[in-house]
Amino acid sequence: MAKYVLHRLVVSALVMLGISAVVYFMLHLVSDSPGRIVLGQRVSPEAVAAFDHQHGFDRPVVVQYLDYLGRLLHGDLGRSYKLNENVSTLIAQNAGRSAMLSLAGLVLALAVAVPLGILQAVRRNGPLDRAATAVSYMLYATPSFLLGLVLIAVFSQQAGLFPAEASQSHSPWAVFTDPRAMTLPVITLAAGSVAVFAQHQRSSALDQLGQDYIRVARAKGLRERQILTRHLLRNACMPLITLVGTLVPTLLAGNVIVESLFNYPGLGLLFLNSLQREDYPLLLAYTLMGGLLTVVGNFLADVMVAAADRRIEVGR
Amino acid sequence: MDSQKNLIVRGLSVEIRRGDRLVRPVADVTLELGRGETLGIVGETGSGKSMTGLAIMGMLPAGGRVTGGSIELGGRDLLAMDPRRYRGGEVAMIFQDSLTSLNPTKKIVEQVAEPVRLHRGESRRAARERAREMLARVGVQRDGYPHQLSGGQRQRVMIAMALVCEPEVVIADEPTTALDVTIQAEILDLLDELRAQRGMSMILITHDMGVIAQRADRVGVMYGGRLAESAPTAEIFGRTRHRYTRALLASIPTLAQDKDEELFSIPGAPPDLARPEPGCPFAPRCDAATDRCREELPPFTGTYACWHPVDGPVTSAGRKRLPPSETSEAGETSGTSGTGEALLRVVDLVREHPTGRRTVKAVSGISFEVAAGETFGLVGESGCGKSSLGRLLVGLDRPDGGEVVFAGERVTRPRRAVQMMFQDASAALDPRMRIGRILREPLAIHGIGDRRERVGRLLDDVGLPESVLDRYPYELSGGQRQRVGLARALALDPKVLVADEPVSALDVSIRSQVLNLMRRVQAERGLGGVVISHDLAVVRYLADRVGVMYLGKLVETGTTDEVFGAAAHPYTAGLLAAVPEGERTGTPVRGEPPSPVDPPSGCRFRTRCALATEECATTEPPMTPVTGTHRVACHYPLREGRNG
Repeated sequence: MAKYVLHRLVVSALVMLGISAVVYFMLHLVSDSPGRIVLGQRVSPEAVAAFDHQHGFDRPVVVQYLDYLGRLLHGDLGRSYKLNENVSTLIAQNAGRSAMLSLAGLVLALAVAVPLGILQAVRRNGPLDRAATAVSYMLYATPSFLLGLVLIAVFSQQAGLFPAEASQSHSPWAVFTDPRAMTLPVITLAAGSVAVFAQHQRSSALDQLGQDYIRVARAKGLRERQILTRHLLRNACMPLITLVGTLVPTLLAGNVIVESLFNYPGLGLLFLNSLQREDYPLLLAYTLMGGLLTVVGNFLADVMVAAADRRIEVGR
Repeated sequence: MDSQKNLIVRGLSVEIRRGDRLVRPVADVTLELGRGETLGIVGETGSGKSMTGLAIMGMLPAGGRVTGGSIELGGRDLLAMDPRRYRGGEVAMIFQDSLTSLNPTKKIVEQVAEPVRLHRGESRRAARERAREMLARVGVQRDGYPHQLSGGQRQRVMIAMALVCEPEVVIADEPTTALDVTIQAEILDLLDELRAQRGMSMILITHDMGVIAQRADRVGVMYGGRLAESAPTAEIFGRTRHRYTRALLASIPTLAQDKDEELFSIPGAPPDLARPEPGCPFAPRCDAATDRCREELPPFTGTYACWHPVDGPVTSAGRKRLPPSETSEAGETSGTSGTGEALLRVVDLVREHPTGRRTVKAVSGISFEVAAGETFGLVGESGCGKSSLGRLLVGLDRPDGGEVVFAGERVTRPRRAVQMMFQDASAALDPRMRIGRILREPLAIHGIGDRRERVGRLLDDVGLPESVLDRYPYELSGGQRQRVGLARALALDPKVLVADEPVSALDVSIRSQVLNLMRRVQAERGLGGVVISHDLAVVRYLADRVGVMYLGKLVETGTTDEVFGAAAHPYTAGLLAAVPEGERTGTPVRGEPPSPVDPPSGCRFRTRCALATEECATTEPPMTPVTGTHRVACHYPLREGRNG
C-alpha cells in the first residue's frame, strides 16, 4: 500500500509540473506585458519597459517560468498586480470560505443522491424512478446561475424565506453561524451534483442488485432493507468515490458562479474579479490550484477505492 | 408415511408476469422429500427446476407468484408463512458458484456469521465463532476476502453459509457446475457427508445425469415446467419410463459408450413457456408422439407422465451407428494419423502472461502434431493453460517461445486455414450484426466472391434455415448460435478447426446435436481439429488422439482409446476417476492445482500425486513412449490394470 501511495504521489507531482508549465506559457501568450497592466493604458511605453525590466519581465519566458517555479517551491505565489497584496495571502484569506461552501454542497449532494440512487434502483422503472430521473436530467441541464436566480426569485423575493445574498462574514464557518443566508448558495451548488451522483449511483446499484451475492443474502433470510445497508451500499458506492474525486475541482468551478451570484467572498469571486482586472499572478495561482485539486482529488479517490475494495492490487 | 416426509410439494404451479408476457415456469409439480434423503431434480434450462427451488425458498423473481399447490415442511404450510422466517434457517439454498456469489467487500467469516446472528439471535462474537467452526468443517481454514479464494473454496464457503444454521432442508442448485470434475467430486462428497451427519434432507438440482446417478436417492426429471418422471434413482436408470428421460440419457456422451455410435440427438429446442401448447410439452420433439400427445396432457401417474411410456434401461437401440461411409473414412484418417505428415505442428510452445511482478506460466513447452483429418483433444482442469494454447494455435496470441507450424509455415497471426470455434457463441457473435453479415464478414475480409451462395451452403452444412440470415444473434437459441459459430469458423474453408469448449455452454439435449454436427462436418471436409475441453466425455467423443494438460505441460498423449482405456499418468487416471459416472473406480485427484505463477519443481503434478517421491521433486520426467503412439511424462507410470 505504501509503495502504491508513493508511486501515485510521484506521478501526481509530475502531472502538477506539467500543468504549471502549460498554464504559465498560455497565460504568457495571451497577456500584454505586466507593466502595461499594472501601470495602466495611459503610461508611456518607456515607463512600461522600465517597469518590466525592473521586475525581470523582459527576460526569456523559460527563465521567467523557472524563476516562478523556484519561488513557488518556497511557497511564494507572486504578488497581485492590482490588490497590492501577496497572492498567497489573498488565497489564504478566501480559501477557507470557499472550501466550506464546496464541502457543504458536496455533503448535501451525497446525502441526497446516495439514498435516492439506491431507491431508484430498487424501484426501477417505477413512478419514483421515472420522476427522479426526469428531475435529475432537468437539474443537470439547468445552468447553476439560472437555477440560483430562480431560487432567489422564488424563495427570497417571493417567499422571503432566505436572503438573496450569502453571508458576508469573514469566518469560514458561515455555513453554521449563518445557515439561513447560506441555504440558497449551498442548494444551488449541490443541485447539479445531485443529478450526476444520483444517476451514477442508480446505475451502479442496479449493477450490484444483479450480482449473485444479493440473491445469496436474500436466501439467508435478510430483510430487503438489511440487504441494502449491509451488502449493497458499500459495493454500490465504489464508482461514486472515483466520481466525487474527479468532481472536486468542478465544485471549485461551480463556486465561481455561485459565489458571484450570491456575492459570497470566496476564491471564486476573487478569481472572477482578477479575471476582469487581468490580474495574472492571481489567475495563475487559481488555475494551478484547480489543477492541484484535480490531481489530489483523483489521488485520494484511488487510494480510497483501493482501501475500500481489497480486490484492487496495490503495489503495481 | 407422511411423518417420514420432511418436505412435501403438491401440485406446485408458478407464474411470472413481466409486462404483457406471462410465463408459467412451473406447472403442477409434486415432490416428496424424506428425512435424510437426497432428491435429485434434473432438467435443462427452462425446465423449471431452479424455479421450483426458488418457490420453496419463497424467492421467486419480481412478478412471480405461486398460483397453485402447496409446500409443506414438517407439517407446516410454507406458503402461508413469511418466507424470511424459515429462509436461511430451516430451509437453505446453495447456489452455483460464480465470482459474484459472495459479497466482494466483506470478509468470509462475517458473511458466514450473518445467518447465525439473524436466525439464532446470537452475539456478533458467538456468531463469528460458530462461523469459524463451520468454515473449518468445510475445509476453509483462514479468513479473508472472497477474491482471495479459489472457485472450489468459494463454493465451500457457500456451503458453510447455507449449513451454518443446521437447516432441515438444503436446496443445492447446480452446486458444482462451474467447477472442475476433480473439485466437483470433493464438494459433492462434502455435501453428502454433512447431510448424513446432520440428518438433513437435500434437493440436488442439476443438469448432470452422472451426478444424479451417484448422489440422489430419488430423481425427478423436469421438462417444460412439468415433472416428466419421478422415481428412485435405480429405477430412473434401470427402468426408464418417460420418452424424454430416455432421449436425454441416450444423448449424453459417456466414457463407456461405443465411440463409433453417433449420439442420439433430440431434435428441436425446449418449449417456449410463454406460449404453452396443449398436450405433452415434449410432444414436438418426441419421435413417438401421436395426435393424442399433442392434444391431451398426459396425467402424472405417480412415476411418469407419458402416453406412450417405454419400459427398460436405455440401450444403444436409440442410437444410430455412424453411416458406413463415414466410419470407413474416419477409420482411414485415424489410420494415417500416426504416420501421415503433420498438418499442424506445435513445437516447444511457451506463453507467459506477466501480471505486475508475477508471471503466469500458462503454456510451458508443449509439442504435438495434428494430421489432416485428425482431431486432437486437449483436456485438463481450468487454469491448466488449454485456452491460452488454443489462442496460440490460431494466431490470436503470440508465443514467448517455440512455434506453431501450419503446412510448413510459422503461424504468427490469424490465418484463413486455421479457424476457431468459441465457447460462448452469444459472446463471440457481434450482437448488432445480423447473422448474414456475421457469416459474410470473414469472406469480405479475404475478398472472396459469391458470398451469398457460399453462406447458403454453409447454412446447409450446419443445418440452419435461410431465415436466420436476417436475424440477430439474440433471436437465436443457444444451439443455433453455436451452429452459427461453427459456420463462421468454416466460412473460410479452413484446414484446421480449433474448438475451445464447443458445447459447455449448451444444454444437454442440444449438446449432442452440436457434437454430432461437428463430427460429421469434420469427417465430410477432412478437417484437422483441435478440441479443447474440461469434459472428458466430449473430448473422447470427438478426438482421435488426446493430450492431457497439467499446469502448462502435456503429461500424457496417445490415441483416445489408449489414454482413456489405459491411462499411464496418475493425473489422467485421477481425472477419469473423478468423472461422476456409474460406479467409482480408482482414486480421484484431490485438491486444486497449484498456482501457475509458481509451479512446483520437477514434475508439476507431484504435489497432488500419491506416488510422488524425492525424484519427482528434483527431476522433471521426460515424455517417454509407453507404446508406439502412447507417451507419458511420469517417473512411475501406471501399468495397464493398475488404474482400474
